[in-house]
Amino acid sequence: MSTDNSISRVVGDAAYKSIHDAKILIVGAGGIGCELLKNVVLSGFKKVEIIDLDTIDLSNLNRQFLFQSRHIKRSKAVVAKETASLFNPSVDITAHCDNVKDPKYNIKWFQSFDVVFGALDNIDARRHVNKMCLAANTPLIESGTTGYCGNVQVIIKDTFECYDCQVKPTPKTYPVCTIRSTPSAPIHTIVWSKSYLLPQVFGEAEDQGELDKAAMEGENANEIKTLREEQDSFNKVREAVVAEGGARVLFDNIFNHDVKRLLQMEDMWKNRVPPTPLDFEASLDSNTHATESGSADSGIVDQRKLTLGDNVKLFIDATDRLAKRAVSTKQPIEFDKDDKDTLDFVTASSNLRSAVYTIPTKTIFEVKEMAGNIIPAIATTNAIIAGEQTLKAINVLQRRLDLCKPCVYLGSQLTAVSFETPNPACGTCQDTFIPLPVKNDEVSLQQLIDAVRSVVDVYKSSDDGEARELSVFEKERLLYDPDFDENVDKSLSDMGCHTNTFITIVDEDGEYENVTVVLAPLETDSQDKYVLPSSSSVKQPGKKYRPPPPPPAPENPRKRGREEDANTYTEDAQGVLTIEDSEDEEPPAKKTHNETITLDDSDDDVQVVQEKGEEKVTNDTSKPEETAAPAPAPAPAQEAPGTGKPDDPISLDDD
Amino acid sequence: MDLEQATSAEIKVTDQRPDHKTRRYDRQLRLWAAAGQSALENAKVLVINGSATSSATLKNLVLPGVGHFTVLDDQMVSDADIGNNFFLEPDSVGKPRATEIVRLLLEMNDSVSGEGLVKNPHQVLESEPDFFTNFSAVILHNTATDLTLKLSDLAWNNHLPLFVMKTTGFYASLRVQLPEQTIIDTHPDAIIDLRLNKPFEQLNQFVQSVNLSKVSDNEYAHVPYIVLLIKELDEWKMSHDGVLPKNLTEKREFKKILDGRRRKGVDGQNIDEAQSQAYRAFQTNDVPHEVAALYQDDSLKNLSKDSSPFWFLVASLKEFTDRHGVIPHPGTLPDLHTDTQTYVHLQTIYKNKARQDVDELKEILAGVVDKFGVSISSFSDDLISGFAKHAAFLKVIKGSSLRDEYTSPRRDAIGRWPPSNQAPPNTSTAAGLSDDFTSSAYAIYVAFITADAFRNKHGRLPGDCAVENFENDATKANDELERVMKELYGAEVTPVVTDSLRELVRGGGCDLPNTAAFVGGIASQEIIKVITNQYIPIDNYCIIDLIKSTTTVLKM
Repeated sequence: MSTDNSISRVVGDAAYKSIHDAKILIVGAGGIGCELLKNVVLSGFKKVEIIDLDTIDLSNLNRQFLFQSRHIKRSKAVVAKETASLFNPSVDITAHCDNVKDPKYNIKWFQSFDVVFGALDNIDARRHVNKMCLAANTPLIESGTTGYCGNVQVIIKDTFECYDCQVKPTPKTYPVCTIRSTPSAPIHTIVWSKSYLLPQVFGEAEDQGELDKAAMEGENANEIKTLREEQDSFNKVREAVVAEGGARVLFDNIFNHDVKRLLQMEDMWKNRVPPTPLDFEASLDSNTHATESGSADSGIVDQRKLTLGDNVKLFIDATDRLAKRAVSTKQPIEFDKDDKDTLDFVTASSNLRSAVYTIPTKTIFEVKEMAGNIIPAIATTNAIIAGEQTLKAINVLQRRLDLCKPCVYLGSQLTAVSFETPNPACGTCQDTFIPLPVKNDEVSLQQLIDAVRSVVDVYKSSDDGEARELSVFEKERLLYDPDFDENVDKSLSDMGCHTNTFITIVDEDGEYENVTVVLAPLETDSQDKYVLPSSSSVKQPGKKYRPPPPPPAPENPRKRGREEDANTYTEDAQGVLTIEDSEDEEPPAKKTHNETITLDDSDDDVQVVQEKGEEKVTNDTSKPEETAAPAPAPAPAQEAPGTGKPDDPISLDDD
Repeated sequence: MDLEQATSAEIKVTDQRPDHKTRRYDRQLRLWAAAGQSALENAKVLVINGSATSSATLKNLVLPGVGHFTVLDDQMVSDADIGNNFFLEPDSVGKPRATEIVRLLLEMNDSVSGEGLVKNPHQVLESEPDFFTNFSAVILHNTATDLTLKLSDLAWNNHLPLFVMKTTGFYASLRVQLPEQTIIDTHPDAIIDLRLNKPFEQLNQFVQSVNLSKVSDNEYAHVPYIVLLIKELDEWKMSHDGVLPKNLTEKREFKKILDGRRRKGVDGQNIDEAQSQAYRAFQTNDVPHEVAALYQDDSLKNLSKDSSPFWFLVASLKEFTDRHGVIPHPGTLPDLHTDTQTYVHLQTIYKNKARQDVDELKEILAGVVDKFGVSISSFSDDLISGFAKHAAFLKVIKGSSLRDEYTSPRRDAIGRWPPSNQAPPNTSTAAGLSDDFTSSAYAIYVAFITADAFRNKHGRLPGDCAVENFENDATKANDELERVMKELYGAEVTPVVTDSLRELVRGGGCDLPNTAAFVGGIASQEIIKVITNQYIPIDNYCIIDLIKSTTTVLKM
């Protein structure tokens, strides 16, 4: 096709061939994934795989343009492939409607790609793909967007920093007693509704573990006892709620009886405003305790004001709807922000609980955002980020790593930030990875250890001539150490180690970095029990990094969830940190540069915005960038996306 | 009421469930809310040239639900179009580009209307110039300079926003030509105004009602830091002739005094907060600089019955400031350490103050509009309260026309780079090409201007994909560059600009898919900002360098 000609003209014939021959993987067929698939098909890629476990929802259609209303509930990966294939049938696209964490997507599979595109919406899957790509030594082009902001990062083992090199804040958690008996903010009652009430009534059978743990951690014993009683009464409610009039029974139980029971613990309310039990009839007729935000005549129904009476009606209605579903499907019901039955239930029940505890109530729209960790998402930002991501992939294929700086887009400008070398203290990318195709049920732990010793030179002997002492872990689980050898004769599968299990071997002296063996399936017709890479092809572990003594951590007295007041929190946290760090008396005049490591649209994570100092913005080229990978010899002008001349501004930028 | 009656309310509740549209647009409503969505749905945009970049831009407008779009283009679909434009099919070859891309774009959203107009834009401009004024925004891609300039004159005279996209290879530019844009909701990171230095009456009463020496330890631990700061500031001012802590030493001293207020064995989270937020107490609570500048704006001085509502509101704001020395309170209270009851009480105090300020602003406004014979009814309560809430963050962009770039070029920006035999001075104060980072953006800008001049002369872009005489074109383009530099900017050609031009010629006007995707994203983002009149749009150039992966905003 003739664009092919114009592309090859601009990028050069060699580059065009590398695109044509490359096999690529796109992980995620959401907002960014759709854009990527379009871009790679247009750019001349011919072998593409795309994986996503999700199905299409109405709320995806404002940006995921490969899908239309008629595709709702179908697999994202499959429909994306269908739509893109219509455009160019000559591209070989394979779609997987599956979880990328499934063991069948093993290290050999990741090794089969020249480039992997990350287009995910949650930290957990991002970390998994990051680790698999590091182990497979496949370049990963990671991305994320939130609202008007986004970022792109090229991850290559031992060259650029990996996803885990900078610690990602974990999602906010709340003490169980705050949620269960002493809420003081809207988020507390929303968490209670979503993570406690809904599962209790419509989800999987309840778990006593949470209370056991709280008891062990020394929480108020009386309070725990009361909560256990509440739990018992729930078991009865579960049965009652699906029967006729069950919604009313549930209402009385949780907003009246349980509250009265808690009130009996007088010492709890000495310094707190005690809760007020709700009377069903009185509440139903009440126009009080209306949501502060929203207006009575809002054009958007979700943003309408809800009074106490509205919430009671909504509660009864939503409970009935869920009860009907529970009876007909016999399946546990989980919270989904786009499932209006569960959203209505969580909105109504959290607002009623807020009424009990004199906490401000929220509109459906607001609850959806807080309960669903909703991240705003639009086509424009995804288009920008995916366009940049595809360009980065082409640079990687051409080994123009000097052109692979991480990029941040913040609402109106894209900025290339400095290269970062791998963090020497990173727990993920500092390991040496050894892919090991193996028969898990035929190889013992001892055989595995011996095999690794045979290819890792520094394990053969330590300075005194003895074999180096090693210990072996699977995640946090100890499998072996010199004083614990019970497992040595067990097979790998007996110890629960299968394909995609990462077995980490640690130098007992702490002198060398870890070696991590990644289990992979062996060809079925193989005569061997395992296939070990040759000693020369294994990158030998380096000396372990010894961190300097950490400076005293700056105190951040107000680490609270962004959910409570997102804007204020961010602003304040910045203020706090800046002042404490720099002794500066004024707030930052200019907003510090945020590198957003972001989630497109996740159900189970909160947005993560990572602070980056302004000095990392590489607008100033005076800073030497020793970390940058050496650029290959300048290519002829027509073959590189830069002009390629040694004195052109692009090359100068990195010299 | 029994259960049956209660559940009979079901119908009413069902009415309140989100409709199809709300659910479809949920993720974007969180960015621009109902007001922005309705502005978008009422917008009509015109795109000239049905290229890959144009359809990439339109895609991002159709998906969020722009009201209507028209594509004006008289070309037929070629093989090259099929290869780089996702919104064309192999079967489209030989059919009009305008109708084909419209047909495929509309598949994405059935609440959007679209029209493909197979006409020559020059002829339409000659025969029916009024056609262009039917739109809320006009978007051009790689149009010839004479057409671009004529349309920009027309847009400028009719107060229409115009977006001019240019792409070639890995370089692109977006020119945003705005009529005066007055933005109320700029979406600041946080709206915080605690009035620590100028507490209003109700706040002061609340602060005085707390007697720190009498409260119990438990109460002491829950005194909001705002109260602590106001009290401490009062004492400070009494001993310092009413002057705030002004230098680092005094500010440190102030924080040290706060530290001394800790009670033994009592949780000091609120005192931690007071210390970390003390910088807010050192602010004077005067009118923000940018707002004060609006009070001097010509649009305010020339207020007439034809002025936009925004300027009547600014006039009222000015009077409010004259009366009180501050702007209306936004009514927000940040999260802070205290008990729920106190928090709600304090929140109510700020909210009531905000409400009171809005009422006063409204009363002032009624007087102002009355003088001009304008009805107060054209100012909704939401508009007035929204204006009051965002008063500290108002933004006015005074547009500048494309024509001005030729009649009065920014010689200060372009011309001040050092001669080619000198190294650029390493100072951030020097403008134009003297700063290495922005220099390449200025150079790309000049390269685009040169390419336009080349196109005027030769009827095609330099290095046009279809023409294979690259070195010839490069030489001709360099001649053009020398002339442009001399005539327009009175400056010498430098290597950085020669290199940029060479790269631009190498791109040969190619509409590469990834560049199209990227520019389409940037352009549609700015178009949405302008249409919704939220957030701050680019003013007035975005230079896109996809080799370096950077964009730079320039004002030309």
